[in-house]
Amino acid sequence: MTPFSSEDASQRTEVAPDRIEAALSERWRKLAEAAALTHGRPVTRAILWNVILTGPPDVTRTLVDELVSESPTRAIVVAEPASGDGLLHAYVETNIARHGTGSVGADEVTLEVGGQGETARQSLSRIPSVVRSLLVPDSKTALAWIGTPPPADHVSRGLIGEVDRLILDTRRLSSDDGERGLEALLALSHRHQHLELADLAWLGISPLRGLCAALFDPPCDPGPLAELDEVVVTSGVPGVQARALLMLGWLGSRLGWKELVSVPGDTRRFSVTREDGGRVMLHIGVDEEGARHGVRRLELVSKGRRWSLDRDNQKIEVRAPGLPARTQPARSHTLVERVGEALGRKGRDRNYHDALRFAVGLVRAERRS
Amino acid sequence: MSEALDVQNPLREGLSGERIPAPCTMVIFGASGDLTKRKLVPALYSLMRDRQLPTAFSVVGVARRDIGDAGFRAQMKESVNQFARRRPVEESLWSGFEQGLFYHQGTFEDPATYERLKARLDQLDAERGTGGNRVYYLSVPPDDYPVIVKALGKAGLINRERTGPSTRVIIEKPFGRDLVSAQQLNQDVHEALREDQTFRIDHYLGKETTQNILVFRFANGMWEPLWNSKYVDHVQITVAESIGVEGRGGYFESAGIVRDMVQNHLFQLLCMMAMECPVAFEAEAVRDEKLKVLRSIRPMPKDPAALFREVVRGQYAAGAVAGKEQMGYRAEKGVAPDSKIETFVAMRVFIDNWRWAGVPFYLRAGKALPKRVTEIAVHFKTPPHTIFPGRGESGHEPNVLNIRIQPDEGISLKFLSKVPGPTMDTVPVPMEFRYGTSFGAEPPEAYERLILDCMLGDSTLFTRGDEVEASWRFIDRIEKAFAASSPAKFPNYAAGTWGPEAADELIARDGRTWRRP
Repeated sequence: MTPFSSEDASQRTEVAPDRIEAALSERWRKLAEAAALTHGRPVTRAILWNVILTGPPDVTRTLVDELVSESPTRAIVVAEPASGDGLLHAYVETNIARHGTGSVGADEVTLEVGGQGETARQSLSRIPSVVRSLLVPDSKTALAWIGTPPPADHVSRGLIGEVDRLILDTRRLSSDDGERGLEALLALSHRHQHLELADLAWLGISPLRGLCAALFDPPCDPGPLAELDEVVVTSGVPGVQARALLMLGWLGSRLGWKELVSVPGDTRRFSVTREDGGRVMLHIGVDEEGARHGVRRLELVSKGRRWSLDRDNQKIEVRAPGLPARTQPARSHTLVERVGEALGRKGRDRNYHDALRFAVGLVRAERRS
Repeated sequence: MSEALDVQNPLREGLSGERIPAPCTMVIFGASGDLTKRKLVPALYSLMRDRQLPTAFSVVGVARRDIGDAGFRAQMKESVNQFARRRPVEESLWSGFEQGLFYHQGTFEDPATYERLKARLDQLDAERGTGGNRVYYLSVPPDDYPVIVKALGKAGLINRERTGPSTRVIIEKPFGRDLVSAQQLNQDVHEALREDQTFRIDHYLGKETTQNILVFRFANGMWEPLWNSKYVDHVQITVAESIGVEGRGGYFESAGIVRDMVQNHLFQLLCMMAMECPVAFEAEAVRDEKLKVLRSIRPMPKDPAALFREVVRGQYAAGAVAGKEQMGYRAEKGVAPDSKIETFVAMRVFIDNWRWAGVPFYLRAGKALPKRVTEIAVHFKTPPHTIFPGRGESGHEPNVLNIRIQPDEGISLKFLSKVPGPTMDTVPVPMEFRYGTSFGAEPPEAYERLILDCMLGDSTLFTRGDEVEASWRFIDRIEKAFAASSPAKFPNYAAGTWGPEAADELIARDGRTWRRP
């Protein structure tokens, strides 16, 4: 008989939903037997995270393959293909990577419900219970919404209480809800105080925030931050401006700006009050000619002096009064890199929650006007 | 305490975890040397690439040859292309990085070198906003350390005060060649610098796995109760290199493996393994505890015959390492044909304190051994009575916790398990944690971490002056015994083996054997 191999393990096999764990155990036993027979090297079953992924099947499949090769993960993919028989189908596979003298593998489970109608709805409603039974103890659990975040989705609702971390991308807020989706996210965060939010849009502006802060580090004077007159964020993408709003939200929450007012006009303009009572004008502009980044340029103005960060696809140019222009590296990240980063961050990021609250304030001010 | 930038700048709140140092200029003495090319500038490039350098940052290389800024930049680009963790260089990043690279020609003895250097650094501060903060990296032979430090002080390039721009100096090993020279070096350095401005670098402390020893021991509750003479039978620490001296024969002839590896790397591992929990993960607290270990090591016997029962030395003869021919030590360039210098040492040491009384620590280090490996193996005592006598291959096999420092970094625990079947046979099985498979991400180079820490003013992972002296105090007696008596049968082990037979006998006398790494 040919021994069970890592190639066999990587085959996707359909199993009954209540037999998933047993099927995975059976695979691991066979793999260990085969390893002992063929090369005597150990196969380690490893896991750092339970990651539940929802999103377009083609994107999630690629993401899982890359993610598990980077970080041992029990991946549970929840897929809703457009067509199907409405029943819940479960598939298992094992991702094996050679490492050093041995091999390391991690599990992948796909739960799939295709089609419409009552049968499909009932099947979907069972998914959270299946997921709960599959979570490996002593490892944290993340729910990754790949694609449009569906805060009201029934599957997600059933899962949200089970997870420690919610990974999402507010750049992909549905065009129907627009930036109001930020409000829903803030409400969700308030409802689930334990939940750690990892927003890929926020992670994407992390280098810019670091560089912006560095503009006012010693020996430079941080005084102008308290006397800013104007902040301009230029976005390189159309539509939902999650990154631009979060950047303003970060500055506003850190610098204690209050009394948000939207100023009618061609561009998105706001007025806020500084801690010393002065006013700061905030602008969000869009310029699609350059790098496609949600914050392509950030400019801070105080008493005629300007500090700026300009991003293209490879570098960020940093300018400050009285100093030569400097460049810092910038690069685009793949989805798997971002999700990996989101898994790496720890705990609730208070800065993000403060920035989100301020950004929601801007959205509401705009709506009021 | 580290000096992360969090003062007065409201935007820094919540970003402190990113550890961005204050603007500064790093001046590398010995800029044409191997270390600069292979480690320092590649590490700086990687830090820049990971956005861990301050936006205002410059490097000034100092050396004798007149190559100019352009020549230095070209050389460094080649080095980064060859040695950086992430290579080849990305042109767009390099162009920004090289704008901050400068070269200063001069000899270390000439006061004019420092006068001109001062003018250049002042100019760079003004142009690049580096604020007068300096890190001086002495990548030069040890004899030049006092020369450079004194000259920097005389030229007004060192700020000893705790206020104003910071001055830090990184010194490479060896920190002296015996107790007297180490004390002299400390004295010379302290004439110009405070101890907390002095960063003695031992790259072993920059390794993730070395730092993880402290996390493993002090962030987990289950090990500490077992980490003592009641449960630990003995500890083996191995620092093995598969290569020979590789053209460094001249240096090695004046050093030997004890000075080259034991006094620094191996003793630092011993300290991390044996120290008490510090009151905080802060420089002085950690280094105080390491110093206590060094002071608790039982001195070697004064009587040479007794000392040589505790210490075995070896020198490799020609052989083969992993199938590759290896010439004998005495055939290496720069090595005397009748050299008595040791390339291998094994020793048994005791730490005379409450925790470790009576527990032997077997240490060994060597060159031209079968593989490159550094590990700490903690052998626990076997159960007082086994109810599975004579069953299986290993009824009395001890649990062994192995901390692998390099390569394939990780931790494994060996324990007995029942063999599936109708009998109660037992077999040892490993439970493994590997950095590579658990975290995926490539860990930073030790130099990246250590340079960054120095820029932040965090000396936790650097060796303090009194630690250096304490380790030399122990080593001196061994070195004197080596110098006083010629080894009878050098060379005494073939390259590609685990050292001389006497090393096996040393541990066998206690009824134990070396672990095969």
